[in-house]
Amino acid sequence: MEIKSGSSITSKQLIFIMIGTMLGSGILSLPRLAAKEAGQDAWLAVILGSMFPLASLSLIRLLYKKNDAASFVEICRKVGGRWLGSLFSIILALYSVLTASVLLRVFIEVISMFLLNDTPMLAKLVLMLSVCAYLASTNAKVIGRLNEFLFYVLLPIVFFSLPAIVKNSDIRNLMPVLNFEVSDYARAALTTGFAFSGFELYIVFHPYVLKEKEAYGASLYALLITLVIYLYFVIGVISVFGSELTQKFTWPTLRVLATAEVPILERIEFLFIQAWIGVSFRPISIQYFCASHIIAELLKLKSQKWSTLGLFPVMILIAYYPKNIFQVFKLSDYVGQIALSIGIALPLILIVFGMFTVKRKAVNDENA
Amino acid sequence: MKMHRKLIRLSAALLCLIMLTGCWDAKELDDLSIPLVVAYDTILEKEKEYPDDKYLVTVGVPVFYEDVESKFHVIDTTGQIIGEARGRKNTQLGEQVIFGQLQVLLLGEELAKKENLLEITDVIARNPRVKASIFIIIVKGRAVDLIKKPPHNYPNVGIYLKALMKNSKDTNFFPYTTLFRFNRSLISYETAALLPHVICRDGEIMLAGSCLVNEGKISGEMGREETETAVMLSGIECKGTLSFEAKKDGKVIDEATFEGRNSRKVTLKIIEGKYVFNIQIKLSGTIVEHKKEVPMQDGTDLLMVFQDSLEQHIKKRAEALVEKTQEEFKFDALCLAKYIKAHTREKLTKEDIDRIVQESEINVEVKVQIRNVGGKM
Repeated sequence: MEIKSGSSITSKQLIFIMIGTMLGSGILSLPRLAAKEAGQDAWLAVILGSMFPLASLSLIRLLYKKNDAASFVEICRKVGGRWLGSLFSIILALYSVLTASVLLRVFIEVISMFLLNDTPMLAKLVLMLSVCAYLASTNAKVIGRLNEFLFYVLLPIVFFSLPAIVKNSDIRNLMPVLNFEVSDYARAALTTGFAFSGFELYIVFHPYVLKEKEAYGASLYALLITLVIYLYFVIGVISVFGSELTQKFTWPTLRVLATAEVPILERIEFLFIQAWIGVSFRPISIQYFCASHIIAELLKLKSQKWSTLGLFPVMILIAYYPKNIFQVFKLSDYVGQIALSIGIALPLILIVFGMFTVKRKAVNDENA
Repeated sequence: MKMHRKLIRLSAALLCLIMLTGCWDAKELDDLSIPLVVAYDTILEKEKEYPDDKYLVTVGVPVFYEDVESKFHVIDTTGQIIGEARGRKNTQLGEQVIFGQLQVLLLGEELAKKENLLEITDVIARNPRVKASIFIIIVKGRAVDLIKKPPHNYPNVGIYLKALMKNSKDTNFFPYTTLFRFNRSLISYETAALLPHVICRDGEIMLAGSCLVNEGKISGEMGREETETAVMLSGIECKGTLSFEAKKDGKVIDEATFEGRNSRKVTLKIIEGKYVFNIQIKLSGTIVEHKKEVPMQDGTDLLMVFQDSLEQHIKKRAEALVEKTQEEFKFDALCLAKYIKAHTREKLTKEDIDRIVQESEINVEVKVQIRNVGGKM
């Protein structure tokens, strides 16, 4: 499939898309997860966790370097053949559907707790997913532009949290440094690595970048920016609460905001949530887009709108399925684990398959 | 053009999602009651609604209706646990209760001595609508009596107590403990939290001292002077006044009042397994009063005398409190645990921290810096 000229994105837009996929509810819950595993060294666990996406991005780059293709589905078919290649594509599409659904549900849990307590779950799911579906039915260029625009929503988020962090933080809450076993850090890195899930979608967006050579650098920039934002929140929250109290809160970042009052605005956590909506709907939309896009390409649909529409009830069902917040978190953990597996295993498998395909082709050419 | 239209449409849809609170969550202001103050007490036999009731929860709600007898509605309900008592208040209220503007949590003295306050305040700490910056106050006697006391010149006790706590850090060396600081002290630092103690004397509600809450319960009470010292030793930054006698060569030569801010610096060394703390209390401010009509510029060393005298005065009080902490309280009453935890690689329990505080060497140094002498030389 040829990339439509209107669908290509700039490397700058890729940065914003990648940030959009990786940043989401992790802002709110990562300090708790990281503190649980690595205590006051949570920040280190976050840095170590970013090694997984780094490895994945490098593998994806290698994959596209070795195989020239215009889309993810095309590269899968090129190296795996029609059936196996389609299977690889379907795996990523299913994963994206699952991830988008879980992210949607996590988002709704936060909204339910802080803003809309009485609104039925289904109404909230449908409303939110409708917005995401609208974006998912467009093309990579729209996704890129919107993510570029919404990136600046992050600024008020950081700005709102500053008074609470500056006023109440204590550096001793981050000490002593390096006080855990290597195995603890490894486990912690695995947990924090989940927070970056979404990085694996670089495999879908890489071919859309106008200057392909700049794509890998852009993805690294995105990873770095995401890492800095996560570090800001993890260090900020733990320096305020201490690692023990951080673990007690479901959404510690929001709780930190509740520790300080700003004149006139007063309850800044509610303003933060408003801004955070603009951040958290992006990973859902981008995952949704990728799933719709892969399915549309596999089924050779004329318009991506049909696959978007078809996935809508499936995602609502998955998001509606968990009965309580613990099931949501459990599902979220599974998704994180799958993300790490897919992010590393999928490009690796495709590279290995690609090597055999190239050899086979070379032999065939020689025989011919 | 087409792309722009898409973006506009998408932005509009997103805006709708953000701005619309939804039909189900629409709330009319007339249907809400907004408590400012909540009080928890142990229950008296005569107050029990059911035989198993243990707690009395009192809620103070401002009334916004005009032409009503009272502008402050006080409701008390009972229950086996705080949540149950709190839930029963709905049978007495015509409106939905929103805790978003709760400002003060009052805890009766008996309750605070008997029960674990971390458990008691769970219902508040768990509610995301309650801000973590609400003030916690221990009431001498019963909190329910205080909440029902109309303060002079204030619309209600909730507004008065919030103003008292909010401004006390700029007028007194008194603790101003919020829900978040209380939890951080007890859970993360495993130290004792210093809570303000309020009394009602001759119809006036006032700050009387403080209580040390260790492992969730009151484990020590302090009067005004000891509270001031504890605030300085614990590093709670305030602004207040201190009166002292100025001494030169052991003789009282003047009496003066200092007004200024405090801060604390702690250094910790572990020498042969023994923890040595050096607590430096810094006071910086102005002499707002001195009795003798000796012009300051005439006695070039008068300022030095004031500084030395105040340093000695506070040091004496601080050393007495350190001794009391190590020998009487026998737990970390000085907020040193965070330094111990930050300097120790072993996993320490609360008992370890308390033992270290008891056995350590704690040196106090006071540094006073008088920057000004007011509008009169």
